[in-house]
Amino acid sequence: MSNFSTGENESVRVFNEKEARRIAAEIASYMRPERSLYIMVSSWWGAGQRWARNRASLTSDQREISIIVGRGRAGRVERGRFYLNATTNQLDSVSLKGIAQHIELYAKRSDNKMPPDMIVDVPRSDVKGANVWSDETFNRSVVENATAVEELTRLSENDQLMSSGYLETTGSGSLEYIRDNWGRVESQWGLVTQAVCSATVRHPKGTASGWAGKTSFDMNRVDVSEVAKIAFEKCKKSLDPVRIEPGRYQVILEPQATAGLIDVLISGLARRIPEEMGRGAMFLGIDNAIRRFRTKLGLKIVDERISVFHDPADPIVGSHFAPLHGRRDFIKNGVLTGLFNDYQHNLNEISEGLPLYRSSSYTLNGGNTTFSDMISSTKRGLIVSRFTQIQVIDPDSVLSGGLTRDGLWLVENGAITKAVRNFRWTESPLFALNNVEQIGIEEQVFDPVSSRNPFANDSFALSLNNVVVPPLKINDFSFTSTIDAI
Amino acid sequence: MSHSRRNFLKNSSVFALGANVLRPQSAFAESTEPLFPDGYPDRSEIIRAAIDSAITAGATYADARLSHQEVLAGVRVTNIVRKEHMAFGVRALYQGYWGFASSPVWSKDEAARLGLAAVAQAKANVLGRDRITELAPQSEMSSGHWEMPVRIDPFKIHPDEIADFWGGIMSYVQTLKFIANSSHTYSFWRTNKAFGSSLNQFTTQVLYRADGGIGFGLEDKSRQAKSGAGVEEISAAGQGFEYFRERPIREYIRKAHEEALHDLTLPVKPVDVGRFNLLINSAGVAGALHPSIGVATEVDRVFGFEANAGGTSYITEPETMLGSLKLGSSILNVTADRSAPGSIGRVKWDDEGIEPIKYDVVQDGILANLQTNIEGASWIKDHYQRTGQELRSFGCSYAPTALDVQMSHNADLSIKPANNSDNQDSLRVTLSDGLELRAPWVQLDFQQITGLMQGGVMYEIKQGKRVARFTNAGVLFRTPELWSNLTHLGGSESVRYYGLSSEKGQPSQSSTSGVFTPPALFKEMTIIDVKRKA
Amino acid sequence: MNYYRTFKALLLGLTMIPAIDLSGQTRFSQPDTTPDYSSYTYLDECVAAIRRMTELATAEDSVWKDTVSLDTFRLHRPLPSPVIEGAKRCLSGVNVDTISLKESHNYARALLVANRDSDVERMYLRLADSIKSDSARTAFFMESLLVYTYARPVRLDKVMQLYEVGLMNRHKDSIGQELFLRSVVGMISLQSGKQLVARRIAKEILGITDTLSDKYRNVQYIGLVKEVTFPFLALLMTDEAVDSLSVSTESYRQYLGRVWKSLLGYDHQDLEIGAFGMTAPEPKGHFWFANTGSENQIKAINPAPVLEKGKVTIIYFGQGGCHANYQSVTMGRNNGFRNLCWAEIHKIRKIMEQYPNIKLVVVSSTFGSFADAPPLQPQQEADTLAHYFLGFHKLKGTQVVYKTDFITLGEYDRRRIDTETENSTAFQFGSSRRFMFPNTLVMIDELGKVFHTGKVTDESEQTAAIRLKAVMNRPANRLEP
Repeated sequence: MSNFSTGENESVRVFNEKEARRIAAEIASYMRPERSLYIMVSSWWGAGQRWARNRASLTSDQREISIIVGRGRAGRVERGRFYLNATTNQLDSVSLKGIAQHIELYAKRSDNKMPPDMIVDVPRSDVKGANVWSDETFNRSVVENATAVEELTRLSENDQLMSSGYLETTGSGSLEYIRDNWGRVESQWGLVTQAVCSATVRHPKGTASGWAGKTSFDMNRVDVSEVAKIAFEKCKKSLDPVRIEPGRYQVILEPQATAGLIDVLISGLARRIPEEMGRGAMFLGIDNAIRRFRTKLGLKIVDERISVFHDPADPIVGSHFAPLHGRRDFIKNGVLTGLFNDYQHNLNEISEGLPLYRSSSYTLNGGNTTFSDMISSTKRGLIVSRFTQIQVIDPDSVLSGGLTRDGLWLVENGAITKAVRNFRWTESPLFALNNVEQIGIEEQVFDPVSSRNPFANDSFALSLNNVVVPPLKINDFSFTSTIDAI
Repeated sequence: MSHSRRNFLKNSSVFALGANVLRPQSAFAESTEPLFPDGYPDRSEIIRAAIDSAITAGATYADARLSHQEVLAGVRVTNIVRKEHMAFGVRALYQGYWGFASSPVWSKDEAARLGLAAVAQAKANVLGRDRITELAPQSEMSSGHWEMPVRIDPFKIHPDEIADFWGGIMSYVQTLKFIANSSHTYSFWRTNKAFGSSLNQFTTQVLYRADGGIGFGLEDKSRQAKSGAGVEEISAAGQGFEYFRERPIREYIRKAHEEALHDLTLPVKPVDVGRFNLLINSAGVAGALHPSIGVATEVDRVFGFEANAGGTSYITEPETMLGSLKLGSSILNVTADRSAPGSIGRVKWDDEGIEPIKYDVVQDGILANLQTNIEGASWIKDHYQRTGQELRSFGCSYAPTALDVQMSHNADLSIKPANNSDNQDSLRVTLSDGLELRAPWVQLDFQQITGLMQGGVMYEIKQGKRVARFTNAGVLFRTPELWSNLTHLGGSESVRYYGLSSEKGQPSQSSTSGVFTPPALFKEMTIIDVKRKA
Repeated sequence: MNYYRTFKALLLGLTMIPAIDLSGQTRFSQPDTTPDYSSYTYLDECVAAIRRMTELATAEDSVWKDTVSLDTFRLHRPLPSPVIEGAKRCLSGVNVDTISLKESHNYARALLVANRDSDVERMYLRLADSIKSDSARTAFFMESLLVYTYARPVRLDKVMQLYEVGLMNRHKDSIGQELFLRSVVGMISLQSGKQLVARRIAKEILGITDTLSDKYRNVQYIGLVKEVTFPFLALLMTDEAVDSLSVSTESYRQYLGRVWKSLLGYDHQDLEIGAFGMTAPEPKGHFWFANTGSENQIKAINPAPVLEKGKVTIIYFGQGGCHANYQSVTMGRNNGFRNLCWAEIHKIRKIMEQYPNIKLVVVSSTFGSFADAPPLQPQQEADTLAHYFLGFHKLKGTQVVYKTDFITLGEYDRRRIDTETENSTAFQFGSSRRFMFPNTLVMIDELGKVFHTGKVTDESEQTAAIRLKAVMNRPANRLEP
C-alpha cells in the first residue's frame, strides 16, 4: 500500500497515516488515560458521474471526514462494538475535545462499576488484509469519466433508447485506534479504493428496461462500455414483454439475481441468536441431553455442490483492514460449517479459535456450466436478470419476497422466446439452494455501496460488499403475481 | 481517455490554491484554537466567495450551501449519543451541465476551491452534445433569516431532563397490564443552513426535528395470546422537545394499550384470501400515500433521472397525464406543502432559495401537479403555458446536508378529509362484513404502480366490530386501483400526522416528509396470504 | 395532573430572534444548566430522575479494586446530599394523596430519597385501606416492607412494624415469599446491629421450616433457607460460641446442637448444617504452583498434600470468571452486592497478613479461557490462573489447578461441555447443595475439620473473622511471640 503518497505535487484528497494518527492522539489526550477507548478517523473522497436521458446530469467531487469516538464495555473493545459514541467531521480542537468530553461525561455513569482489565493478550492473527488500493481508481480523471459517459449515452441516443446510470470512483483512508484499560494501544491504518458503475437503459415509452453493473476496487476491472453495452442489449431484448401466468418455474438466475436471493441467507448465518435464543433459520432445536440449543452446524443444509466462504486476503472480496482470521468456510459442500460469531461468545462457549466476524463480502463457488448451456438445456424456464425490494417474510425459514427487475425472459426448448412482464415472488433461498439444477461460472457482481455519509450510519466511511457468485439454474421457483412495473 | 488525474489537476486551476485548503485548517496548522471562537463566521462572505469563484470560472448559474447539523439521540436512559456535522457544497451550471463539489471545510479559501471545482466538474462534460438546462424563474429574490419556531430547543436544556422524561414514560408503560416488553427511541436534530446563489439570494435558517417512537408487546397470563402496539401519534416532526413533552403521550399510550389488550381477546385465524372492503387507519393510509402519490410525483423520477437508482414512475407521459390521469376516486384530494407548521419537511426556503407554496398534487382524483425544483419545473413548462399557470418551482429541493447535492424530494402531503365527523370507529361501524388494517408496512415496485401492504394488524370486521385477527395477511394493489377504490374518508377531526422517510439518488440520500391524513375505507381490495408460495 | 406545560413555556417560542446567531459556540458543549425540575409534569419523570441520580451515586460507591475493603453497611447509609436535595426539589409539588396503587412503590422509593417518610406512610395507609382482599393487602405490605428495607438509609422501624403486620396476616399460599421476607428483615436487623431481633427472626424462620410437611421441607429452596438461616442465627457469636470454638470444632458443633434444641425444643437429627466439623478432603489438581521468596515469584511445584496436621488452612475456590465478571452494587429490588471476589480477595490478604501461619490454597479448574485472553491450553490456563491469584492479587500460598474434562459438541459446533471435577464432588461433603462454587472459602482447622464455609464478603464476614479468631486462639495455632 506504499503506492499512496502525499507527494508535494499531488492534491491531498484523503488523510495520510501520519495526520490520522495525530488526530487520534489528540482525541486520546483529552480522555482519561485509565479507560478504554475506540477511535475511528476516516477521510473519504468520491468522484461521481451521474447521467440520465442520455446526458451527464451531475458530476461531483465530494470529500468527507468522519471521526467517531466510543468506549468499549468493561474495558473490552471489539471492532464495531462500543456502547457510547460521538461523531464529528471537524478537526478543530473544540470539536475533538467536544466528542472526547461527551464520552467522558456519560462514561462516568457506568464506568465506575467496572473492574480494570488485567493484562491479557488481545488476539491478533498475522493474517494480512488484501491490497485493495488501486492508483488507477484513485487517479481516474473526471475527463475520463465524462468521456466514457459521453460515448455510451451517444450509443443509446442513436438507437432512440434512454440511458441513465452512475459511475463513481472513491478512495478512503481510515485509522482504527483502540486503547484498553491498561493504556495499551493497538491501531491499524487501511486504504481502500472502489470503482462502481451501473447503467439502466430504457425505452422512452417505458416498455423495456435493461440494467448492468460492476464493482471492483480496481477501475481496470470495471469496463464502463461493457456495462453500458449489456444494459443496452438487455433493454433491446426486453421490448414489449408479455404477461405469463404466475406459478412455479425453472429459473436461470444471473449472478446478480443469485446474490440478491441469497443475501438474506448469508446475513442470517449468525451463531449467537440460535444458540442463545433458539431462533432463526440456523436454529435446529433443543438438545435435551445437554440442555442447550443446537444449530444446524455440521448438517447438510443445501445442495452438496454449494460452498460459501470468505477469504480476506483475496483482493476481490478482501478487506483493507487486517482481519482476525484467514479464509473461513460457512457452507462446505452443502454442509453448514461456520456461523458468524463474536469473540466473547466464542470464548465462553467454544474456548477455542478466533471469532468469525460478520462479513458482507463472500464467495459462492461456481460450477462449469456456461450460461448458454444453461439456456440450451432448459425446456421451459425463465431467465432472471436481478431481484429487487427483497425482504424476509419469515426469519425462521428465511422465506422472502421480492420483485424481478430489468430483464426477464421465457426460455422454451433451449432458446429465449420472449420477454416477460415482471413478477412478484415468494421463495426461501434455502429452498432454492436445495433445488439447484446447474451451476455456472462465478463472477463478481455489482453492489451499490450503501449510504456513504458516516453521519447517517455511524459506520466506516466506505463499507465493502464484494460478492462473487455464479449463475444458478433452480427448479420450482415460486412467482406469486405479475407486477406492472417495467 | 489519456488524461490522468494528475494532469487534470495541473491543468485546472483547482490545484493552484494548494493542498492546505482541502481540509479544516487546524489539521495542518496544528492549532489548538477553536474553529469559530465567536460563533459562525460571516456565512454570506463564504458563500459569496464560492459563487464568485464559480461565476468567474464561467458558470452561468451557481449556488452554495453551508450546513451545520447536530444530533442528540438517546440510546438508554444514561447514554446520550451526540453527532455533529458541517458541510459546504457548491453547485455550478456550465453550458447546461451540472457540477458539484463539497467538503467539510467552512472557509473562504475552500469556497474558492469548491467554486472552481464545481465548474471544472461540469466543464468536463462539454464534449460536443448540448444539454439544455433551463431554470424556472423566481418571482421574487429571497433573502433573510428564519428559525423554525420551537417552544423547547432540545439543545438548550440539560440532556438529563430529556432522559428523565423518557424514563418517566417508560415506567408508565410498565404499570400497564400484561406488558411483556417495551422500547423507545428518540432523537433531536438541529440544522443551521445557509444558502446563496448567483441570483443574489442569501438565506439562513435553523430547522429542528424531533423524532421518536414507543412500542410495546403484550402477553396474557397463559403466555399464548400476544399482541403489540406502537404509539402512532408520534413519529418525526419539525418541532422541538415540545413535540413530546407538551403532548398527551400517556393518553396515547393508554389508548394504544387498550387496543392491544382488546386484541388479546380476539381469536387469531389464518387469512381469508379474496376481495374485501377494507378500512385502513391513518398510519396505513399515510404509508400508502407517501410512495404511491408522493414519491411517484417527484419530477426527476417522472423524467427518468432516477431510473438507475430508486426507479421511475407510472407517470410516463407527464405532458398529457397532468390534468387528465385519473389516480383515484373523486374524493381524493392531495395537497403538498413545505410550510405546514409542525411538519417535518417545513422550511422557509428550500435548498434552491425558493419559498415553497401549497399546491395540489391530486385534485378530485386527477393528477394535478408534480413535485418540482427549479430545473424540473422547466421540463413541464409547456404544460404550465397551456394551462395558463405560472412557471415556478414548488420548492421541493432538499439535501440532508450540504455534502450532498440537492434533489427534488417529497413535500409534506395532506389528504383532504371528508366534510363529516367520521373517524376510525365510526367508519368501522359502517362495515358489516370486511377487514380493517392497522399500521401496515407498505412497499411499492420501482415504478410505484403495484404494491403490497403487510404487517401491522389485520382484523376481521363483522357487523361493525373487530371479531378476529388474521395472520400473514397482505393487501396487493395497483396504485390507481387503490385510490379509485377509496369510498370514504374520515373527517377533519380524524386527521393524523406521520413523518416518513424515503431514499433516492446515487450516492443515496434520505429525506423525511410528513403526511396528514384521516383513516379511509376502500372497497374490494385484494387480500393475500404473504407466506403462501405459488 | 395536567398534560401541558404552563403558559411560561409558550412564551419561549415568541422570543425575538437575534440578528446574529451564536450557536456555533455551543458546538458539542453541554448547556450550562442543570435539569429544570419545575418543568417536570409527571411524578414518574421525577422518579426516573431520582433513580438516575441514585444509580450514579451508588455507582461511585462500588467496588472493583482489590485494595478496597467492602463496606457491607454502605447501602444503609444516607445518599449524598445533592441526591437528596435534587429529589426534594423534583418532588416538591407532589401530592401523595393522588398517587395510585400501581404507582405507589415506585413513588415511595423516590419519596424516601427525599426524606418524606410521613408522606409515604400516609400514602401507604390510604392505599392499604382501599384494598379489599386480605391476601392482596398482605402482598402490598410485603412489597412496601421491601421498599423500606432497600431505602438509603434503611427504615428499620418501619420494616419491623410491617414485619409484624405481615406475620399477623400471613399469606399462606406463598411460604417461599414469606421466608424470603423474613430472611431479608433478619439480615437487615443483623447489619443494623439489632442482634436480638435478628436472632428472634432466625428462630421464627427455622420454626416455620421445621414444621412444614415433608412435601415442602424437601423442596430445595426451603433447604437453602435453612442453610442460610441457621448459621446466621448461630453466627451471633456469643461468648459461649467463641469459647466452644476456641476449644475445638467438635465442641462448637455440640454447642450448636444445644442452641438448636433450646430454640426449637427438639434435637436436630444430625445437625447437618454447613460442613461444620466435617473432615475436609485433599484438593486434587494437575498443575501446582507456589509463590516463593519475597519477590512474589511464581513457580511450578510438585503436587503435595496441602492439609497439614497442626496447620489451619484456607481453601479458596477462585476462578478466572472472578476477574471478567461485572462487579456491581445494585439498587432496588435486587439490592445488594454481586460477585465481589475482588473484595473477597482483599479480605483473604488481610487475613493472611494477620495470621501468617495460616496456609492458603487457591483451588481452580480449567475452563478453556481466562477473562478476555485468547483460548488457552490447560497448562497455559493454569499458569495464567496462578499468575492471576498469586501474582496479580498477591495472594501468598499454593495454587492448585484441576484440568477439567469436557466433551465437545461435534466437529463444527465445537461448544465445550465441562464435566464435574474431583474437587467439586469431594467438597460437596456428600450433599448436593451444601456448598456452592466458585469463589467460596473453606476454613479448615488444625485437625482437618471444616469450621467455616461461605463467601467472605457477605454478612458472614464478621462471623468468619470471629470464628477464625477463636480457632487461631487455640494453643496449637497461636503464633509464638
